[in-house]
Amino acid sequence: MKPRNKLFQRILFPLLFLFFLGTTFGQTQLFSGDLTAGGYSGTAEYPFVIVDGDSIPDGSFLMYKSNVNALLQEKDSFFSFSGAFDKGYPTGFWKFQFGEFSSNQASQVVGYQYRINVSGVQHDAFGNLAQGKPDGDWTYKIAEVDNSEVSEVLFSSQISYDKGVPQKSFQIENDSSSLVGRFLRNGFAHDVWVVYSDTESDPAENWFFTNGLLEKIEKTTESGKQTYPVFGSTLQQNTEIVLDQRYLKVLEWYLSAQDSDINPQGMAMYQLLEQNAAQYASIDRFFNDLGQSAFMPRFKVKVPYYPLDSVETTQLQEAKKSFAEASAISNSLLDNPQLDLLIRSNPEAQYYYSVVEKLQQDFISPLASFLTFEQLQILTFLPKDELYGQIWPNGLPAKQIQLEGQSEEYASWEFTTTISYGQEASRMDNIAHMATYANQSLSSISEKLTEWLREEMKQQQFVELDKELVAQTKQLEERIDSLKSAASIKMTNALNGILSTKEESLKAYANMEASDDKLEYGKTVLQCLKDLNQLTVTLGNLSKQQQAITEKYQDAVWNPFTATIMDEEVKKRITAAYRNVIVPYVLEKVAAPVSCDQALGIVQLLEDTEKRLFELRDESTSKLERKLRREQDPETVLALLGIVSPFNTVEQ
Amino acid sequence: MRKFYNTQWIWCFLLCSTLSMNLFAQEENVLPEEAEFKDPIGRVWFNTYGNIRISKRLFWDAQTHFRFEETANTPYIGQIGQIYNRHAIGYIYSKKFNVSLGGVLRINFNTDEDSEGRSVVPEWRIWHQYQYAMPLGSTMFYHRIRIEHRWTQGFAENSEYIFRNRWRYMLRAKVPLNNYKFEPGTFYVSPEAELIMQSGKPVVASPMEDLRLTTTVGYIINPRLTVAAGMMYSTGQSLDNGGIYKQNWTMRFHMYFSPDFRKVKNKLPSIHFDD
Repeated sequence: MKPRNKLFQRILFPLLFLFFLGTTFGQTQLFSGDLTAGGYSGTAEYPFVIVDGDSIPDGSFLMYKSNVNALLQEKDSFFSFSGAFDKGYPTGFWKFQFGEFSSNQASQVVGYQYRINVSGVQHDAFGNLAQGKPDGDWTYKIAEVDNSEVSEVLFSSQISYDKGVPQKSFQIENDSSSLVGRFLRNGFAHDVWVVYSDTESDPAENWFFTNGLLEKIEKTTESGKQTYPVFGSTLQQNTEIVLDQRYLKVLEWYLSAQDSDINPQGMAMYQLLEQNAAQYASIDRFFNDLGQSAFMPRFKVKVPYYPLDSVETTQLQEAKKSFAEASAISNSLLDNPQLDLLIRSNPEAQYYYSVVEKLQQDFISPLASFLTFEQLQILTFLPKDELYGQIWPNGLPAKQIQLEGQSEEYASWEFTTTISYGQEASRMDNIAHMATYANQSLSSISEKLTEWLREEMKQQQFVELDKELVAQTKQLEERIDSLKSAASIKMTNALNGILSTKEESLKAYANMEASDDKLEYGKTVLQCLKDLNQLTVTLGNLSKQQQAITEKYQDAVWNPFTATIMDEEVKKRITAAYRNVIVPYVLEKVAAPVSCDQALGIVQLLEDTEKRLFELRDESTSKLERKLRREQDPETVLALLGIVSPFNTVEQ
Repeated sequence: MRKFYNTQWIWCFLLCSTLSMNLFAQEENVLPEEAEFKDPIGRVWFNTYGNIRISKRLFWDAQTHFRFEETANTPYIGQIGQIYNRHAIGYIYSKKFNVSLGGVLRINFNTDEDSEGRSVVPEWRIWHQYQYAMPLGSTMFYHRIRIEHRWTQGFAENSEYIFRNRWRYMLRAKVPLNNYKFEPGTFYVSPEAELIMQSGKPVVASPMEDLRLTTTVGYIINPRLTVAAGMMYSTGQSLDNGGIYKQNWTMRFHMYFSPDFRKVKNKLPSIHFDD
């Protein structure tokens, strides 16, 4: 048995182990089909493995798109990307080609192929990658193509990397200028970075770096060569950052602090670096959609460093929070159109408004400027004393706010609080407390003003409501007056019922104390008056309705003895039930008097009745007519006619 | 005993009156120098007029009249003179024009208290009629031509039927009183004039049988029922003697009914004859 055991240990066990590994990492599968990555959509072919449910490209990769029909018709956006992945990381030689071509449609057969000349722009990028980072020489070129010939190079960059770190000298050029620079082995900018303009033989800009630290900038202008010192040659404390937008903001501050008119963002150096970064970013997006990479070049530089301790960091966060709240309150008050109206009639409100303006001007706006640096993440790169002195040249504003040109009563304002702060601006605790003070002040003023605004709004609502109530009442009374002159006794009683309900509702409203409840009640009274108006209109149309029903129930009969056609009322029991039971019943209910809730129900009842009687005219009704005989109870009559009674429902 | 007594009297009376009639007849056949007008006789007529629709175009004209005549012993209402059944099938040509053709059975009662003849004799007629309505404002005018072929006989025992033709024209108006048109609840006044001429072998000198001048007032209860009442003066030559004119004053009470038993769906086009 022993030899067999050995065989198992030496051969089969390692084989099983390898098999186990194989199954754990998953089997390689081939993807072939449509793919979208980094904003490009086309056909892709690549192998991938599945690890923990994720598909990871692994092996040679090809993705492309081109459309001859589109090219011939108008233009074609094409691309072709090729390279390889190693377990999700782009590795080895990669080549990118993309752009947009149009054709003049002239074709030529060469050998066994059709040849068509194209014009447009083509991007070419190629180089090596190691574990997703550029490694070795990378070239990026944008060329303008005219009839399949390169007519102009619009952009070109050649940078060497060592595992993502730029090395040695590099060159970036566009159609108007070119930049030549150098890195140390550790990736820091070093020596003179020179920008040449295509039109001048002398350098347009010289940036002097020493081990990543920018000492000075020389710029050739019309008035000659200008030198701008930046950080100097030595710094007590510095830190490493990437030469990007943030670095340029830092530069901008330092240069402006020297009262210089130079704008780093307008300089050719920046524009070339920016252009380069934009091209690299498009490739980086593509890699990140498919796997993992760190394709963006990191041009390392050094900046001064003024770190915040943990207490200061907390205080800064407090200031930020207070500022956000205070700023929101301040903006909402200053932009409130109702408040804008209120201050014209209310001197106290005007006073508070002025305080808010002052708070905005002295507290909120400087804080906003200060926090902009924090937002840009460059606060720790700027010297505190200079920065704070720039923002608060006279120190932090005092708690007591003085208002100029106001009467003695409204000349100053101070919020009563336990918070206090020194006016020395370079201390973060002072800034944080000031921000808290501003926030609390604004909150308290806002509460007061909001209360007034609510009161004012309520008053306004009462005025509007009263106006509407008067208008509705007047309309109702006029309607009833005009109807009364020709009304029957029952109709007159009904109209008096409406007037009585109107009067009761208005009296109850008038006797209420001004409050939210009164406002609510007033709204229901308004609705009641509207409903009563509608009811009055309906009652006013009652005679027309009766006439219409009478006409509907006429039958034309030829009388042989007079040789004339004469109208005869048919289905008299139905019309009698309407005239003698339903209408008097409705009028009695309105005269009762009608309640506000019932008004619309009665309108509906009369509408339903008319509709139903019109329907019944053409229906077979002999049974119904028999049942209606001698029936005098209105609810029974309504039920027989199939009309829903609002009174019956209420009673139920 | 009493029955016998009465019968004897009747036979005696009949004999005497027949003799006297013969004597008078001899004298009356001679035309007088001047027209003689008999004293007017009072009469009361209760007439029903039925117009029963049987199809879109046809109707049944059904009239029953009860005619009373005053006698010496029965003034005012008088005693029954005729029961008159007039029937026809009418054809509605249009709303304004219709024609009828039918027969009449009239039961004549002998109202002559002195007569010894039969008390009841039938009279037969064939009649046809053409009626045309004409609106003028709110008033309606009606022209009626009625032609009758008439077989009559006297009350005398074994009297022969005599045949005559009657030629009748009537002009009638109906004027609504409390309305501008005829509809239920309307009162109307209806003056009418009818001239009845006759011809035939027995008619020697008395072609004008009757001239009737009537005015009635009517009330339309509903399109199918109307009532009316009025007074008629009539005069005409006696058949025996053209120089002697009868005169009558007749109170007339009418009921007009026009039921339509057809189903509703068939009724619908009834008023639109020309559609």
